[in-house]
Amino acid sequence: MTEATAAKEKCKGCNREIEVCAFCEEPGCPAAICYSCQNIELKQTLPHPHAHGG
Amino acid sequence: MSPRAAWRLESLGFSEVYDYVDGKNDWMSAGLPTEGTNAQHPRAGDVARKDVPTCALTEKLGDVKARVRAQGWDAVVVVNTSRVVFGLLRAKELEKDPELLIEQAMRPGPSTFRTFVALHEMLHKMVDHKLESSVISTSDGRLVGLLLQKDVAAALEKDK
Repeated sequence: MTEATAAKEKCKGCNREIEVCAFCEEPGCPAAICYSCQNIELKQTLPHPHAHGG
Repeated sequence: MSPRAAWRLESLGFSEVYDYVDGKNDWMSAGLPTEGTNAQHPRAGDVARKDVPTCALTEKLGDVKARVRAQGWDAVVVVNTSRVVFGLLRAKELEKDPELLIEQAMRPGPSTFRTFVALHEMLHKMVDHKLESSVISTSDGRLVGLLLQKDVAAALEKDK
């Protein structure tokens, strides 16, 4: 994939450029979201309170 | 935190203490029981249809389509022999050339969601993204079932 075709969308959560919406994988999704923001929104992962662990 | 909590529990006299290193989310995504207020409400894994048809990469699309439609479905999940999710075909993909192999026709590596995701959050997202179905899998990628938007709405209505 060339740079021209990649990173067309922007994540509505963090504004980062993404190739395709992580939720629906449809090009041009108006609610496009990146994998990381999606996982946090759906609580599939939890933000780590301490970078050094427990 | 959990290793220290485990040691602390032992210091309090508990003799059988385990540190579940993979964490609570991994526990829940395997469909294991939880306690607390939220445990009373159905989650994605409870509502996902476990009888969703599956197929293999090497099958022919025409054969799979006929089988799937005969079962009243318009979606099929592509899995390997360990039921690890490789792909998904919804109605759009099922309409492709019947001579194609599943590997050529499928959506590869579809987004999958964990069993413990709250239904209201899934519904909100599915409506926003106009998605009729989503694949639910364990954290190691094994198929649990297919979550249908209409089932989520019905379950939430019932849970009110």
